[in-house]
Amino acid sequence: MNPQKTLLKVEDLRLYYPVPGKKIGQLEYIKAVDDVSFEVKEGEVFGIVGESGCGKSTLGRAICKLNPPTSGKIVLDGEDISDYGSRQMRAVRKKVQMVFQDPYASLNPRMSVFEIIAEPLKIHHLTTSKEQMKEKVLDLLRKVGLDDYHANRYPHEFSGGQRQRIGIARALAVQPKLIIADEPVSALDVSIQAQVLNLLNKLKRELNLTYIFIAHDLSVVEHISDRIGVMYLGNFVEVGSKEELYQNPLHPYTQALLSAVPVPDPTAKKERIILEGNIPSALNPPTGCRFHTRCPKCMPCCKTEAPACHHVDGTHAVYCHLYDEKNKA
Amino acid sequence: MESRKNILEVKNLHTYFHTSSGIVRSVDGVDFTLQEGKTLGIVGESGSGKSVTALSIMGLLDDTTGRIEEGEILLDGRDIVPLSKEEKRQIRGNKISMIFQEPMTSLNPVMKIGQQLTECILQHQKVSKDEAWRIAEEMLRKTGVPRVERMMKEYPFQLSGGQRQRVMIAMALVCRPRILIADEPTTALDVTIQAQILDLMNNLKRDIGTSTLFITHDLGVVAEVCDEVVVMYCGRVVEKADVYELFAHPTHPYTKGLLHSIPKLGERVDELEAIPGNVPNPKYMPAGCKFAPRCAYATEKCHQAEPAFTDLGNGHTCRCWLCEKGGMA
Repeated sequence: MNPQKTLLKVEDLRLYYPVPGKKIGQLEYIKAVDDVSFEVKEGEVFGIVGESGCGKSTLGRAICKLNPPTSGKIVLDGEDISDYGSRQMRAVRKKVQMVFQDPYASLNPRMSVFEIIAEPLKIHHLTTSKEQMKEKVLDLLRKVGLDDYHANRYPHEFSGGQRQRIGIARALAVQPKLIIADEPVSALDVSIQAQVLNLLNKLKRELNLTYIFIAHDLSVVEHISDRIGVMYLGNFVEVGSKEELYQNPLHPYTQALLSAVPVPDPTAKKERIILEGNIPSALNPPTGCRFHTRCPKCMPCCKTEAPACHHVDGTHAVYCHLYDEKNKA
Repeated sequence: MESRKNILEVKNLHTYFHTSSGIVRSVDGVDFTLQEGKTLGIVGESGSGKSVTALSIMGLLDDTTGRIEEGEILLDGRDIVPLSKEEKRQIRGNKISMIFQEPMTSLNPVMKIGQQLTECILQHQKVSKDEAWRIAEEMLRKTGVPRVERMMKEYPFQLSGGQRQRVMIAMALVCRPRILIADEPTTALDVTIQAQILDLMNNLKRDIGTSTLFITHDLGVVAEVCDEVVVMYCGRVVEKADVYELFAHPTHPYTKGLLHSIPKLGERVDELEAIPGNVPNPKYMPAGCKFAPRCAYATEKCHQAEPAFTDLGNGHTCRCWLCEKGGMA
């Protein structure tokens, strides 16, 4: 494995959802993802964290084009897929698969587990005979910790954690290189959540997978990721290795987010930064730095100018005026 | 230690649901005491019976298939289980009130915020409509929402999730109840908004002197807001202690498992210690200790008979055969 190889490169990606505007026939745009660039190396776990409405799920869906991006460039495994139509995307989906948040809604209730897992194998013509297909499906089931007899059951017969395992087996069926997991454990109880996180880690090691792991829970993202990007209102505000980001958060939003996480230790006394107000609407995001309306360290320039990217060191980047040369002194 | 008045005592509570496919024993022998001015946390996973306990106390099971089969709920020393519907109505909202988990679905979508807030005041207090409106406005202002006057005339869909939860809190506290039951009040909210709401609840508790029953599955939240904790599993209390004691010396294998299975900020582990298996189906409960099938320390005895509470001193009690022998380090 070459750890330096870039598996996914996203440049200036935008995804706007059109919504009816104030006047009849007029359209306005929800800027769900606005000018996002990042890279994911082979074999790493890239975590995307942010609050609801920050565009993290849209970003995940835009990468595998479940929601077609408005503009921008996506290069997957050396192949520029930016202009691919849905037909061409089929071949690409052998390389990138998704695991969805809601294990109740993402499995077809009328299909047996066997049919659910066999479907991608059929679509991509990955098996030559029925026996081979059966063997592959059962093998996938065992990989995710389910038994052979589960194959003939239907999704409603399973618990949330087991369903998420089925969703993972389905994603693994085409032997993808990249798995985009969109809040895969947030619907599960804590004891089950740990089981699924352990499973994802095990599969990553065994099958040399790369994950983009999208979640709102900072402790979960820290646990599983190598590098993490913090999103706010359609954009990254800070990207860094997990060690850097959690021990030395630079952006005021990252700092507030980390301080807001409840710690399961009653003796821990900590300074909590309580942010005022709510996330502004993505229909009409604030000018300048998008966080300036809630930022405890807002300066006049934050209201007018969008902050540039400051590279603190090789892996840690922050988008904030506090780290402009002129403000450092 | 100062002795406080017991404001709410739940004794040997059994709440069963009579469904077409048999009896579901959702709450099966729950005991706890809430002291005046304190916050008691009830922790457990889905299906542990924590919400049904809350609904039993509120007397909200009357028109469902659920029934309190046995046990007493003492409010200020008076049993409220045998009371008539009308008498329960006098208590509800006035002496005990409740904040529900989903701020989206628990407000009436076709009633203005002001109307919903004053409804409870007019029900329980002999005041004019104008006076009620004024009390409601004052309470809403206390929860820290902006532009109170306008919000009183708005509908729930016009508010954000955090604002709706603040309205729910204002509604629950508007009659200055002695006891507040908060059923997962922050689960549906983002971390920064959760921090705002927890902060607000702590301040209001200080101002109004309400005792709180805080139901949650998040041990981090418990550590931050609760004075005492009850851990529930399969309709039973398995461990009870004050919050410092519980986090310092978790004794029941289930409590330990819960604490170990959550990833913690700043902690580096390759694998989480997940609790194996699933919560048993309430229709097919194991015979002995309900946790035995998932417990790493289970012995023959655990599968046959259910343990009683062992007193470990300092108000710490645990329902496990291992403590009974005194054989647990």
